[in-house]
Amino acid sequence: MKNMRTYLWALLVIVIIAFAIQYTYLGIYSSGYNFGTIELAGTSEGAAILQNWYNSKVDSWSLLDYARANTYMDFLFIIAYAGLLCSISYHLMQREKHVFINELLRWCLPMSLLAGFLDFVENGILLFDMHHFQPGHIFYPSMYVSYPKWILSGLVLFIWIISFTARLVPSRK
Amino acid sequence: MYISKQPQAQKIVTGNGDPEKQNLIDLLLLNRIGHKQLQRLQGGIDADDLSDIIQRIYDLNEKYILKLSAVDGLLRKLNDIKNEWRNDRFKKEIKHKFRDSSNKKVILAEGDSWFNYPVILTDIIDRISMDKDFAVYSLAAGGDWLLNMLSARNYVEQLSVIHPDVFLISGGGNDLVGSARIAAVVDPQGASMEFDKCEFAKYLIENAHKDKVPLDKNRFDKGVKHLSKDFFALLMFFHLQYYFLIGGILRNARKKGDKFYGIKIITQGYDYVQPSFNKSFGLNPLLWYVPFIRSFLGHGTWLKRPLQLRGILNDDVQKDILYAMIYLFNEMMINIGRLFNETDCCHVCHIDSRGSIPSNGWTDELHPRPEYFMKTARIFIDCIKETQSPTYEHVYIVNQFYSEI
Repeated sequence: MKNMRTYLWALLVIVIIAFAIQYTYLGIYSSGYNFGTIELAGTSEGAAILQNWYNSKVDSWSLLDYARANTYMDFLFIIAYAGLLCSISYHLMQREKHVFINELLRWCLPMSLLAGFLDFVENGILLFDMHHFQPGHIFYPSMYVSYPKWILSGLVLFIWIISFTARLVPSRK
Repeated sequence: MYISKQPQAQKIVTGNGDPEKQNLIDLLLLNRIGHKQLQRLQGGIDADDLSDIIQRIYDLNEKYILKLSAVDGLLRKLNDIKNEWRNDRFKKEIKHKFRDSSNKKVILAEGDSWFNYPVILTDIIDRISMDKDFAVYSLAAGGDWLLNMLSARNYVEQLSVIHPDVFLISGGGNDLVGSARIAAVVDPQGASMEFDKCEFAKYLIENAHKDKVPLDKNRFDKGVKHLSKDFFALLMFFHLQYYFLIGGILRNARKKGDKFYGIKIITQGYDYVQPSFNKSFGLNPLLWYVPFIRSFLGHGTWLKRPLQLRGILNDDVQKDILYAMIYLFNEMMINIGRLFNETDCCHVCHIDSRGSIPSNGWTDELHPRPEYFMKTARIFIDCIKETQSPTYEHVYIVNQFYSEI
């Protein structure tokens, strides 16, 4: 528990490196749609992306297969970033003397967890779409959980910035 | 360090089985001990006597009481995690030559959930630790009983190792309300005359600075009529425990060269806790943790349910009972400080939280919202740094500082 944050940072870095390797490997065969674009895609755009991945092959694997592997790996990324958002918010909170900002940082705890939860749901929807993909088949967009996820994560970061900025103001008791 | 006797006290016995001491203990348990007799008893009390008294108050053997008071399971883990973080920070600060400057203070904290609320809330010690002039080593544990603190003696070991400038202590709340014990010290009929028979409690009320912390006589009178002799025995037991604990430290702090010379001891008194089952769901998203904590962390089981169990169903009567208990508890703590400050000048201060938390300022039955913890902590900081004078004698009344928070 003592080294929890170190483990989470390590996990985050490892997953980012794995993503980077995968992207570099697949980059030369770029389809025009990186794996991140699908999470905010609407019904028709999402179907087009899946179709494109389905048709693109790399070493006898379709990009759709790579996207599925990428999504599984993303679960580890979620654990790492949501855990870090929580942990850093908590430590900032326990150093924040200003009552209102202290409360805001406490609010970051459930927001971070909710962002992680929404990301899990998003991945579930995407895996469903990939698993059941057939040309012309309906696409269920994950954007309805992806946008709130990004908003929540952004809010957490914004509150951190408020906390850091407020610390620069002198004479806070 | 062996802590057994108190400074400047009349030592009346030398061992167990002393008939006079046994007689005084019997009188205490019956709530028939005179104030002077209590003073004589406190002079000769030792750890075995304290153990004997608590077994007889609770009607349980020592092993079971220690089991009852032990902090176990998830709560213990959460306590340990928080203390681990705090104490790592302490070690880092010490490593950076913290003790080079005389303005910096090393603090040892022992206490309950007001000093270590597991994870979610910013408690008193969290706020004190934010001050760059302090390095705080924490032994505090949510749910810990004063009895446990005294029997485990972790603070004794750390006092000797750390040699703190300040020792903070908060305890007694769980001894009273833990494991639904409050049900055992109330009289549901509301016709108890035990307050009138308790010379010590009457002395506390007579000597209370009612101009500083007003006494609502009507509420107090209604409340004490529901307090049984066991409550007053427990109150006097707290007095003996604190006398034993503080006396043991100050015995080694009287003159230059003594182990703890110059140490300051700060005690903590609770505000009037609020019996309630209300989950407090509301629209303010910043208070998300209130219904969460109230739903999962014991809210209603410490006060409301045990009182209902004894047939005390009226909300106002329940609040009056707690009002009387907390008023007496704080006065007992103030009296302890007064006793030591008479002989060992200005070593002991008391932070009095009575009336500092509004009715909507509680996270659950026993704990304020973080903003009020932080408000109380600012008084601790002022007391340690001596940037504010006490409200009177050695007492800082939280409500009279910082109207804004």
